[in-house]
Amino acid sequence: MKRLLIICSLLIAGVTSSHAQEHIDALLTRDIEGNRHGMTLRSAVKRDPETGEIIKRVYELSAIDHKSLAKEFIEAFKRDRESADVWDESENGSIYNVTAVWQNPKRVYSLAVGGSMVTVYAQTIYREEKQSK
Amino acid sequence: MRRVIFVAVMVIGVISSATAQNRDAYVVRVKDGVITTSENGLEYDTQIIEAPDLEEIVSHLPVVVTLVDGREGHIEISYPKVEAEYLRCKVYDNGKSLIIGRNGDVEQPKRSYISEHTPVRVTLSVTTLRSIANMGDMSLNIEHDSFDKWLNIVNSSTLFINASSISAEDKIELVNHGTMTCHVDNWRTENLMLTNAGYLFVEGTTTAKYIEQNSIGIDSTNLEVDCSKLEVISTGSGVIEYRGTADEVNITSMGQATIRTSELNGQM
Repeated sequence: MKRLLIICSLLIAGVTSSHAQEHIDALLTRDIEGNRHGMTLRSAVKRDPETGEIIKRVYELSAIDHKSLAKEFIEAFKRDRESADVWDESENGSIYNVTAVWQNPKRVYSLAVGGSMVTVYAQTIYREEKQSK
Repeated sequence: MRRVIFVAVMVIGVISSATAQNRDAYVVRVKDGVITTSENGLEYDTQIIEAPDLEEIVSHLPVVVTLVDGREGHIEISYPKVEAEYLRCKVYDNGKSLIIGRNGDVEQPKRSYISEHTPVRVTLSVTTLRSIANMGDMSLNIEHDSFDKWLNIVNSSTLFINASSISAEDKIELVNHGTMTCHVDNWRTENLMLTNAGYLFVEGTTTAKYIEQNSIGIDSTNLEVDCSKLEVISTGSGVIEYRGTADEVNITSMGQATIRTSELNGQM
Protein backbone atom coordinates (compact mmCIF):
# COMPACT_ATOMS: atom_id res chain seq x y z
CA MET A 1 0.00 0.00 0.00
CA LYS A 2 2.84 2.33 0.97
CA ARG A 3 4.62 1.54 -2.28
CA LEU A 4 1.51 2.31 -4.25
CA LEU A 5 1.13 5.65 -2.50
CA ILE A 6 4.77 6.54 -3.19
CA ILE A 7 4.41 5.62 -6.88
CA CYS A 8 1.19 7.63 -7.14
CA SER A 9 2.71 10.69 -5.50
CA LEU A 10 5.79 10.42 -7.72
CA LEU A 11 3.60 10.18 -10.82
CA ILE A 12 1.54 13.19 -9.73
CA ALA A 13 4.71 15.18 -9.02
CA GLY A 14 6.10 14.20 -12.42
CA VAL A 15 2.95 15.22 -14.25
CA THR A 16 2.76 18.50 -12.32
CA SER A 17 6.36 19.41 -13.03
CA SER A 18 6.13 18.53 -16.75
CA HIS A 19 3.19 20.91 -17.07
CA ALA A 20 4.70 23.66 -14.94
CA GLN A 21 4.51 26.26 -17.66
CA GLU A 22 1.71 24.70 -19.66
CA HIS A 23 -0.35 27.89 -20.05
CA ILE A 24 2.57 30.01 -21.23
CA ASP A 25 3.87 27.23 -23.50
CA ALA A 26 0.44 26.75 -25.03
CA LEU A 27 0.25 30.45 -25.90
CA LEU A 28 3.78 30.50 -27.27
CA THR A 29 3.19 27.44 -29.43
CA ARG A 30 -0.04 28.92 -30.75
CA ASP A 31 1.62 32.19 -31.67
CA ILE A 32 4.85 30.72 -32.98
CA GLU A 33 3.10 28.29 -35.30
CA GLY A 34 0.29 30.55 -36.35
CA ASN A 35 1.93 33.89 -36.72
CA ARG A 36 -0.22 36.99 -36.61
CA HIS A 37 0.24 40.40 -38.11
CA GLY A 38 2.38 42.79 -36.11
CA MET A 39 4.35 40.13 -34.27
CA THR A 40 8.04 39.43 -34.31
CA LEU A 41 9.03 35.93 -33.36
CA ARG A 42 12.47 34.59 -32.77
CA SER A 43 13.35 31.08 -31.83
CA ALA A 44 16.69 29.40 -31.41
CA VAL A 45 17.66 25.85 -30.56
CA LYS A 46 21.10 24.56 -29.80
CA ARG A 47 21.91 20.89 -29.82
CA ASP A 48 24.99 18.89 -28.95
CA PRO A 49 26.19 17.64 -32.34
CA GLU A 50 27.87 14.64 -30.78
CA THR A 51 25.00 13.32 -28.69
CA GLY A 52 22.08 15.00 -30.45
CA GLU A 53 20.90 16.22 -27.05
CA ILE A 54 19.25 19.65 -26.93
CA ILE A 55 21.24 22.10 -24.82
CA LYS A 56 19.20 25.25 -25.04
CA ARG A 57 15.95 26.50 -26.53
CA VAL A 58 14.96 30.16 -26.72
CA TYR A 59 11.73 31.78 -27.84
CA GLU A 60 11.16 35.50 -28.07
CA LEU A 61 7.89 37.07 -29.06
CA SER A 62 7.22 40.76 -29.32
CA ALA A 63 4.08 42.40 -30.52
CA ILE A 64 2.70 45.89 -30.82
CA ASP A 65 -1.00 46.73 -30.82
CA HIS A 66 -1.94 43.44 -29.25
CA LYS A 67 -3.65 44.40 -26.00
CA SER A 68 -5.63 41.19 -25.88
CA LEU A 69 -2.45 39.15 -26.35
CA ALA A 70 -0.80 41.05 -23.49
CA LYS A 71 -3.77 40.18 -21.29
CA GLU A 72 -3.60 36.52 -22.33
CA PHE A 73 0.09 36.29 -21.43
CA ILE A 74 -0.39 38.05 -18.06
CA GLU A 75 -3.16 35.57 -17.32
CA ALA A 76 -1.01 32.60 -18.42
CA PHE A 77 1.92 33.70 -16.28
CA LYS A 78 -0.35 34.13 -13.27
CA ARG A 79 -1.85 30.69 -13.77
CA ASP A 80 1.60 29.09 -13.93
CA ARG A 81 2.92 31.12 -10.99
CA GLU A 82 2.17 28.49 -8.38
CA SER A 83 4.55 25.97 -9.88
CA ALA A 84 7.43 28.46 -10.32
CA ASP A 85 10.55 28.11 -8.19
CA VAL A 86 11.34 31.81 -8.46
CA TRP A 87 8.84 34.57 -9.14
CA ASP A 88 9.79 38.22 -9.54
CA GLU A 89 7.11 40.72 -10.36
CA SER A 90 7.40 44.49 -10.71
CA GLU A 91 5.36 47.38 -11.98
CA ASN A 92 7.20 50.49 -13.06
CA GLY A 93 4.78 53.14 -14.23
CA SER A 94 2.85 51.58 -17.07
CA ILE A 95 5.36 48.76 -17.58
CA TYR A 96 4.63 45.43 -15.99
CA ASN A 97 7.47 42.89 -15.69
CA VAL A 98 7.48 39.29 -14.58
CA THR A 99 10.34 36.83 -14.43
CA ALA A 100 9.64 33.25 -13.51
CA VAL A 101 12.15 30.45 -13.09
CA TRP A 102 11.58 26.72 -12.98
CA GLN A 103 14.22 24.11 -12.31
CA ASN A 104 14.96 20.74 -13.95
CA PRO A 105 15.34 21.69 -16.69
CA LYS A 106 16.07 25.30 -15.94
CA ARG A 107 13.46 27.53 -17.54
CA VAL A 108 13.63 31.30 -17.38
CA TYR A 109 10.50 32.99 -18.69
CA SER A 110 9.97 36.72 -18.67
CA LEU A 111 7.16 38.97 -19.67
CA ALA A 112 7.14 42.72 -20.21
CA VAL A 113 3.93 44.56 -20.97
CA GLY A 114 3.65 48.28 -21.61
CA GLY A 115 0.38 49.55 -23.02
CA SER A 116 -0.34 47.52 -26.12
CA MET A 117 3.26 46.29 -26.42
CA VAL A 118 4.14 42.83 -25.17
CA THR A 119 7.45 40.96 -25.08
CA VAL A 120 7.81 37.37 -23.96
CA TYR A 121 11.15 35.68 -23.55
CA ALA A 122 11.32 31.97 -22.79
CA GLN A 123 14.61 30.20 -22.32
CA THR A 124 15.02 26.54 -21.48
CA ILE A 125 18.48 25.33 -20.53
CA TYR A 126 18.64 21.56 -20.56
CA ARG A 127 22.27 21.48 -19.54
CA GLU A 128 25.15 23.93 -19.23
CA GLU A 129 27.29 24.23 -22.33
CA LYS A 130 30.81 22.90 -22.19
CA GLN A 131 33.23 25.79 -22.33
CA SER A 132 35.41 25.52 -25.42
CA LYS A 133 39.07 25.84 -24.57
CA MET B 1 -25.39 -5.49 -93.21
CA ARG B 2 -25.40 -1.97 -94.60
CA ARG B 3 -24.71 -0.67 -91.14
CA VAL B 4 -21.74 -3.01 -90.70
CA ILE B 5 -20.26 -1.87 -94.04
CA PHE B 6 -20.84 1.79 -93.09
CA VAL B 7 -19.11 1.36 -89.70
CA ALA B 8 -16.20 -0.54 -91.30
CA VAL B 9 -15.71 2.21 -93.89
CA MET B 10 -15.75 4.86 -91.14
CA VAL B 11 -13.18 2.94 -89.06
CA ILE B 12 -10.85 2.48 -92.06
CA GLY B 13 -11.21 6.20 -92.84
CA VAL B 14 -10.31 7.25 -89.29
CA ILE B 15 -7.31 4.89 -89.18
CA SER B 16 -5.94 6.07 -92.51
CA SER B 17 -6.40 9.75 -91.60
CA ALA B 18 -4.64 9.19 -88.23
CA THR B 19 -1.78 7.40 -90.01
CA ALA B 20 -1.48 10.29 -92.44
CA GLN B 21 -1.41 12.78 -89.54
CA ASN B 22 1.23 10.73 -87.75
CA ARG B 23 3.34 10.61 -90.90
CA ASP B 24 2.98 14.38 -91.12
CA ALA B 25 3.82 14.79 -87.42
CA TYR B 26 7.37 13.49 -87.66
CA VAL B 27 8.77 14.62 -90.98
CA VAL B 28 12.50 15.14 -90.67
CA ARG B 29 14.68 17.15 -93.09
CA VAL B 30 18.33 18.08 -92.75
CA LYS B 31 19.78 21.18 -94.41
CA ASP B 32 22.96 23.07 -93.50
CA GLY B 33 23.28 21.15 -90.25
CA VAL B 34 19.77 22.14 -89.11
CA ILE B 35 17.29 19.32 -88.66
CA THR B 36 13.68 20.20 -89.44
CA THR B 37 10.82 18.18 -88.03
CA SER B 38 7.16 18.75 -88.50
CA GLU B 39 5.03 18.41 -85.43
CA ASN B 40 1.28 18.62 -85.93
CA GLY B 41 1.61 21.17 -88.68
CA LEU B 42 4.23 23.34 -86.95
CA GLU B 43 7.74 22.77 -88.23
CA TYR B 44 10.52 22.66 -85.67
CA ASP B 45 14.17 23.33 -86.42
CA THR B 46 16.77 21.59 -84.30
CA GLN B 47 20.19 23.09 -83.91
CA ILE B 48 23.06 21.10 -82.47
CA ILE B 49 25.74 22.88 -80.49
CA GLU B 50 28.80 21.49 -78.79
CA ALA B 51 29.74 23.38 -75.61
CA PRO B 52 31.71 21.16 -73.23
CA ASP B 53 32.47 24.11 -70.91
CA LEU B 54 28.91 25.36 -70.55
CA GLU B 55 28.33 26.95 -67.13
CA GLU B 56 25.23 29.04 -67.56
CA ILE B 57 21.79 29.01 -69.20
CA VAL B 58 19.88 32.26 -69.53
CA SER B 59 16.38 32.10 -70.96
CA HIS B 60 13.93 34.84 -71.81
CA LEU B 61 11.41 32.59 -73.59
CA PRO B 62 9.05 29.73 -72.82
CA VAL B 63 11.48 26.83 -72.74
CA VAL B 64 11.69 23.20 -71.69
CA VAL B 65 15.20 22.33 -70.57
CA THR B 66 16.04 18.68 -70.09
CA LEU B 67 19.33 17.49 -68.64
CA VAL B 68 20.18 14.05 -69.93
CA ASP B 69 23.04 11.62 -69.82
CA GLY B 70 25.09 11.72 -73.01
CA ARG B 71 28.15 13.07 -74.74
CA GLU B 72 29.62 15.91 -72.64
CA GLY B 73 28.71 19.31 -73.98
CA HIS B 74 26.14 18.10 -76.52
CA ILE B 75 23.20 20.52 -76.78
CA GLU B 76 20.12 20.24 -78.99
CA ILE B 77 17.88 23.27 -79.33
CA SER B 78 14.51 22.96 -81.09
CA TYR B 79 12.22 25.85 -81.92
CA PRO B 80 9.33 26.56 -84.30
CA LYS B 81 10.83 27.09 -87.76
CA VAL B 82 8.73 30.21 -88.36
CA GLU B 83 10.47 31.83 -85.40
CA ALA B 84 14.01 30.94 -86.53
CA GLU B 85 15.01 34.41 -87.75
CA TYR B 86 13.53 36.11 -84.69
CA LEU B 87 15.37 34.02 -82.13
CA ARG B 88 18.82 34.12 -80.70
CA CYS B 89 19.86 30.77 -79.26
CA LYS B 90 23.60 30.93 -79.05
CA VAL B 91 26.55 30.10 -76.86
CA TYR B 92 28.54 33.13 -75.74
CA ASP B 93 31.44 33.86 -73.45
CA ASN B 94 33.83 31.26 -74.89
CA GLY B 95 31.22 28.55 -74.78
CA LYS B 96 30.29 29.18 -71.15
CA SER B 97 26.91 30.83 -71.52
CA LEU B 98 23.86 29.69 -73.49
CA ILE B 99 21.38 32.48 -74.09
CA ILE B 100 17.88 31.77 -75.36
CA GLY B 101 16.01 34.89 -76.34
CA ARG B 102 14.72 37.15 -79.06
CA ASN B 103 16.93 38.56 -81.76
CA GLY B 104 17.12 42.26 -81.03
CA ASP B 105 18.45 43.08 -84.50
CA VAL B 106 15.23 42.29 -86.35
CA GLU B 107 11.71 43.54 -85.97
CA GLN B 108 9.69 40.95 -84.07
CA PRO B 109 6.55 39.39 -85.58
CA LYS B 110 3.16 40.46 -84.31
CA ARG B 111 2.24 36.89 -83.53
CA SER B 112 4.55 34.62 -81.56
CA TYR B 113 4.52 30.88 -82.13
CA ILE B 114 6.49 30.24 -78.99
CA SER B 115 4.29 29.50 -76.02
CA GLU B 116 4.11 27.04 -73.17
CA HIS B 117 2.41 24.62 -75.62
CA THR B 118 5.01 25.11 -78.34
CA PRO B 119 8.12 26.08 -76.37
CA VAL B 120 11.76 26.14 -77.28
CA ARG B 121 13.20 22.77 -76.29
CA VAL B 122 16.72 22.41 -75.03
CA THR B 123 18.20 18.99 -74.35
CA LEU B 124 21.69 18.98 -73.00
CA SER B 125 24.25 16.76 -71.36
CA VAL B 126 26.77 18.78 -69.39
CA THR B 127 28.30 18.37 -65.96
CA THR B 128 29.73 21.88 -65.68
CA LEU B 129 26.45 23.77 -65.32
CA ARG B 130 26.42 26.14 -62.34
CA SER B 131 23.87 28.82 -63.16
CA ILE B 132 20.34 28.85 -64.55
CA ALA B 133 18.56 32.16 -64.98
CA ASN B 134 14.96 32.16 -66.08
CA MET B 135 13.09 35.22 -67.25
CA GLY B 136 10.56 33.40 -69.41
CA ASP B 137 8.52 30.31 -68.58
CA MET B 138 10.84 27.43 -67.91
CA SER B 139 10.28 23.80 -67.20
CA LEU B 140 13.49 22.21 -66.01
CA ASN B 141 13.57 18.43 -66.12
CA ILE B 142 16.61 16.85 -64.56
CA GLU B 143 16.86 13.29 -65.81
CA HIS B 144 20.60 13.15 -65.23
CA ASP B 145 21.62 14.90 -62.01
CA SER B 146 25.04 16.35 -62.76
CA PHE B 147 26.01 19.89 -61.80
CA ASP B 148 29.13 21.75 -60.85
CA LYS B 149 30.05 22.16 -57.18
CA TRP B 150 27.95 25.31 -56.98
CA LEU B 151 24.48 25.67 -58.47
CA ASN B 152 22.61 28.94 -58.62
CA ILE B 153 19.05 29.08 -59.94
CA VAL B 154 17.48 32.50 -60.39
CA ASN B 155 13.88 32.90 -61.45
CA SER B 156 11.93 36.03 -62.13
CA SER B 157 9.06 34.47 -64.04
CA THR B 158 7.64 30.94 -63.86
CA LEU B 159 9.87 27.98 -63.23
CA PHE B 160 9.00 24.34 -62.66
CA ILE B 161 11.73 21.97 -61.62
CA ASN B 162 11.20 18.23 -61.79
CA ALA B 163 13.93 15.99 -60.46
CA SER B 164 14.44 13.04 -58.18
CA SER B 165 17.61 14.74 -56.96
CA ILE B 166 19.77 17.81 -57.46
CA SER B 167 23.40 17.49 -56.44
CA ALA B 168 25.98 20.26 -56.13
CA GLU B 169 28.75 19.49 -53.71
CA ASP B 170 29.23 22.90 -52.10
CA LYS B 171 26.10 24.95 -52.52
CA ILE B 172 22.63 25.08 -54.03
CA GLU B 173 21.11 28.53 -54.14
CA LEU B 174 17.57 29.34 -55.24
CA VAL B 175 16.66 32.98 -55.77
CA ASN B 176 13.06 33.55 -56.72
CA HIS B 177 11.19 36.70 -57.67
CA GLY B 178 8.47 34.95 -59.62
CA THR B 179 6.75 31.60 -59.17
CA MET B 180 9.07 28.69 -58.55
CA THR B 181 7.76 25.19 -58.00
CA CYS B 182 10.35 22.57 -57.18
CA HIS B 183 9.29 18.94 -57.22
CA VAL B 184 12.64 17.64 -56.09
CA ASP B 185 12.91 14.64 -53.78
CA ASN B 186 16.46 15.20 -52.61
CA TRP B 187 18.71 18.27 -52.44
CA ARG B 188 22.25 16.95 -52.12
CA THR B 189 24.67 19.66 -51.07
CA GLU B 190 26.59 21.17 -48.16
CA ASN B 191 24.80 24.56 -48.16
CA LEU B 192 21.21 25.19 -49.17
CA MET B 193 20.14 28.80 -49.57
CA LEU B 194 16.59 29.81 -50.39
CA THR B 195 15.73 33.43 -51.12
CA ASN B 196 12.18 34.25 -52.03
CA ALA B 197 10.33 37.40 -52.95
CA GLY B 198 7.63 35.68 -54.99
CA TYR B 199 5.99 32.28 -54.51
CA LEU B 200 8.33 29.42 -53.71
CA PHE B 201 7.39 25.76 -53.34
CA VAL B 202 10.14 23.51 -52.03
CA GLU B 203 9.78 20.02 -50.60
CA GLY B 204 11.80 16.88 -50.05
CA THR B 205 14.85 16.02 -48.03
CA THR B 206 18.26 17.62 -47.93
CA THR B 207 21.71 16.55 -46.89
CA ALA B 208 22.75 20.21 -46.40
CA LYS B 209 24.63 20.98 -43.20
CA TYR B 210 23.87 24.68 -43.44
CA ILE B 211 20.44 25.89 -44.48
CA GLU B 212 19.43 29.50 -44.84
CA GLN B 213 16.01 30.72 -45.88
CA ASN B 214 15.17 34.37 -46.38
CA SER B 215 11.71 35.29 -47.48
CA ILE B 216 9.60 38.34 -48.08
CA GLY B 217 7.26 36.39 -50.33
CA ILE B 218 4.89 33.46 -50.04
CA ASP B 219 6.45 30.16 -49.11
CA SER B 220 5.41 26.59 -49.15
CA THR B 221 8.40 24.83 -47.67
CA ASN B 222 8.43 21.29 -46.36
CA LEU B 223 11.93 19.96 -45.86
CA GLU B 224 13.40 17.11 -43.90
CA VAL B 225 16.83 18.03 -42.61
CA ASP B 226 19.76 16.74 -40.61
CA CYS B 227 21.93 19.81 -40.36
CA SER B 228 24.37 21.76 -38.22
CA LYS B 229 22.64 25.08 -38.65
CA LEU B 230 19.24 26.21 -39.84
CA GLU B 231 18.40 29.88 -40.15
CA VAL B 232 15.04 31.23 -41.30
CA ILE B 233 14.19 34.91 -41.61
CA SER B 234 10.69 35.58 -42.84
CA THR B 235 8.68 38.73 -43.28
CA GLY B 236 6.43 37.03 -45.77
CA SER B 237 3.56 34.59 -45.54
CA GLY B 238 2.73 30.98 -46.27
CA VAL B 239 3.89 27.85 -44.47
CA ILE B 240 7.49 26.96 -43.70
CA GLU B 241 7.97 23.53 -42.18
CA TYR B 242 11.18 21.79 -41.19
CA ARG B 243 11.43 18.26 -39.83
CA GLY B 244 14.35 16.16 -38.63
CA THR B 245 17.31 17.34 -36.61
CA ALA B 246 19.38 20.52 -36.47
CA ASP B 247 22.19 21.42 -34.06
CA GLU B 248 21.46 25.12 -34.18
CA VAL B 249 18.17 26.65 -35.22
CA ASN B 250 17.46 30.36 -35.53
CA ILE B 251 14.05 31.49 -36.67
CA THR B 252 12.95 35.09 -37.03
CA SER B 253 9.48 35.83 -38.25
CA MET B 254 8.08 39.30 -38.66
CA GLY B 255 5.44 38.56 -41.24
CA GLN B 256 2.44 36.29 -41.36
CA ALA B 257 4.14 33.04 -42.22
CA THR B 258 3.35 29.92 -40.27
CA ILE B 259 6.71 28.48 -39.34
CA ARG B 260 6.54 24.93 -38.06
CA THR B 261 9.64 23.57 -36.46
CA SER B 262 7.94 21.58 -33.72
CA GLU B 263 8.92 18.32 -35.41
CA LEU B 264 12.52 19.50 -35.35
CA ASN B 265 14.53 18.13 -32.41
CA GLY B 266 11.36 17.12 -30.59
CA GLN B 267 8.76 19.32 -28.95
CA MET B 268 9.36 22.38 -26.70
